[in-house]
Amino acid sequence: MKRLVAVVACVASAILIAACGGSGSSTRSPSASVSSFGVNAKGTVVFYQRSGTEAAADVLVPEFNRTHPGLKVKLVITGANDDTSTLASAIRAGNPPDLVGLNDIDITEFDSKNTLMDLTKYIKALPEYSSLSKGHLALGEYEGAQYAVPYLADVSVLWYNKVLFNKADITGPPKTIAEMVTDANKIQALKLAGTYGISFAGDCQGCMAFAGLPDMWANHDYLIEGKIPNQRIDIEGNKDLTAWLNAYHEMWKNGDAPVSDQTDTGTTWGKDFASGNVGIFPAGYDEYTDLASSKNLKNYGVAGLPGVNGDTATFDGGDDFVIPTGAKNASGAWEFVRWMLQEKQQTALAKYGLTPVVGSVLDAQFEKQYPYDTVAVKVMNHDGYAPTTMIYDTAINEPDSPWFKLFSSAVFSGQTQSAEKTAQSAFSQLLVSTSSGK
Amino acid sequence: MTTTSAIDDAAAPSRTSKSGRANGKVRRSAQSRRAARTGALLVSPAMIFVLVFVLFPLGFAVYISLTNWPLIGSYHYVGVSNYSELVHDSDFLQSITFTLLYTVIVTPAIFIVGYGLAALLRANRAGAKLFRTAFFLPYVIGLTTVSYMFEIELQPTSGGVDFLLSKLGLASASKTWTVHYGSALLAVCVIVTWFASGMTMLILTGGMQGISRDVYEAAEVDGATWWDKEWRITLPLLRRSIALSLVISIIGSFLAFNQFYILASNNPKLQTVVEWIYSTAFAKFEVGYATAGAMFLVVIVAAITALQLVLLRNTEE
Repeated sequence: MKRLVAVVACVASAILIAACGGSGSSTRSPSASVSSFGVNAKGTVVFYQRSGTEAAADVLVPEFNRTHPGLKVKLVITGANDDTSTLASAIRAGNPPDLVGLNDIDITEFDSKNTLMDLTKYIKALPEYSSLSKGHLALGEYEGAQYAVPYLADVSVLWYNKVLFNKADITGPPKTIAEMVTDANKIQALKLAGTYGISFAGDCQGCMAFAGLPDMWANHDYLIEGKIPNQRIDIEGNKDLTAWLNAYHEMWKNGDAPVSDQTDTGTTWGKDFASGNVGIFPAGYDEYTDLASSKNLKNYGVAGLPGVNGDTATFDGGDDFVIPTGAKNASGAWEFVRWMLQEKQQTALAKYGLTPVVGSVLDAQFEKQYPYDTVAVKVMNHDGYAPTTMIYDTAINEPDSPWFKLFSSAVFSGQTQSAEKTAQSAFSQLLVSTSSGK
Repeated sequence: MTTTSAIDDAAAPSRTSKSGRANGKVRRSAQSRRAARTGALLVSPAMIFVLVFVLFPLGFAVYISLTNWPLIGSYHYVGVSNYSELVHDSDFLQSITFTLLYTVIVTPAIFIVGYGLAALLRANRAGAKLFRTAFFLPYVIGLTTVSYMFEIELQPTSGGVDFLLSKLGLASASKTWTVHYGSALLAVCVIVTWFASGMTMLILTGGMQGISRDVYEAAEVDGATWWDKEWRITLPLLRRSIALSLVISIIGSFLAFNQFYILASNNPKLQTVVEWIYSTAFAKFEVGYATAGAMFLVVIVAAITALQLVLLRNTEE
């Protein structure tokens, strides 16, 4: 009996150690030539696509498989909140997927750990290269090499209710933060039952960063300044940030936003706007799918997010394609990428509330068919940005992040000054601990 | 006589000759070896399961906790520095303190409600089965689903909780339950008590139905009141069931995650140990450090479970 236990333990351990063994090939730069990589590839491509931006992939992947006999893309949808940990676990287990539609804000973390393939020469050889979204491309760059290529854009914009604007005698979308406050006040002053000037997801730090940070970026104020590894934080005493926080605090104090905004974790974000009860709604362009299905799309307008002092900006959200090192069918993955960047497939993204990353899709036909997405593409091409930093998730997205504490203390409690001081310290501490490798 | 003994010897050579006695031992030894092999074979799938899915991961987790294992990238051995850092980590200590507080609040609440429901429904009267099913239903739905349901219902002005309580004059129609520490904790405790008391009810009902009716009848003959019967008969005889339900409840409270992550993740004072572990491993990518925290939790839970079993053991044994 004892011998049996010992034998079983040894066998089990051996199996598990083998299973947890290191990755296969870890080549960062494929050796295939530009002319042969991603051409007539065969086999299977395992493609990780995160939930939330999968609508187009659900349709386009079967279309690719139908038109490319011999090469099959296997679509794997990963959880919206654990897509990075799913990918990291697969890499750690030595079984990475061949292709990932990675949230562009997470690329830097994977780049810095040498887990992604250098695709520089292949990206530069793409016929669409000069039309690719610059902001999304920049997020895929690390230490002079390109590890990611834009796939789809999920940008932030300013939605507004034209009916409420007409009632409040407002002629067009606000061009500055101060105008946004004035417009929200005017709509609230109409005193229509259940109607509010503005709506935002006050308990959703990711949402507020996505829809709010561009207001500062429009004035070239990035809060996290400089390039890795020499970044610095500019929060305490930042005039643009203070103006923005005070603007939201004023709207909150004035009752321009529903009480439920304070506890909106993003689950019901935009539902009140889509039901016609809110005048101004800074949010993602993907709100389009709710508005289109409401049959009252003509009542809504879209514009770029207004800067603190004018101009517009947008958060270059969305996904980039990356190929992990150790991918078994990198060539097949690249063939799929090349296909997805063609005009027909990029135009198809617009049907699903997403925005193409290839600017050359903007022609008369696209503008006529997708007038709302045209605004999003133009804003993205002109003013798109997203921060390249290692601390984005911990500083901003994660529960109880320093960004969340800053926003909620300033907006709901009016403690802007002390909130900025605390956030300055917390953000800086995260930069230090990330750069020290802990 | 000689013939009989000769016949006896011929009939049962194994009983008289040396080789006969040895053959008996061989038969028993071979039988017991066969029985042992059969037993081992039958048990081996479960043993392999425990080795592969429990013991090996536990051992590997101990190893990870002695390294600076990141979610992505290479790692190296750091000894016990993760553990020494833990005892000075204010966020970790705060999460332990809060988890203990939450356990102390919610465990008696679940037990009292569960016991009350079991006492009400232990007799198989008409409708008892229906009510038992209804009270157990939240447990079947699952805490994640329940938490998401209440995330909607706790919304101010639009949620069902504020609507109902404002009609009863108990709260305003726009109370923001999940923003403030006290109201968020109260809301979560009420939700979890509603969720988990059904399981406690089920365990205790099974125990109650195992107590012979004769014991109660004898007590009634002696003039025992309802309270006398509960305190002197039911509770002592329910010791094992109580121990089981408390162990499940306390372990569940120590491992609390879903309800706080969904309903109150942005309140740092409401962070449980498991939330701390999750955030450290998957947000900060510090898997080694998070695993050290997990090992700490394993030791605490094991110690508390052992203490409960000792305190609640049947002293007559």
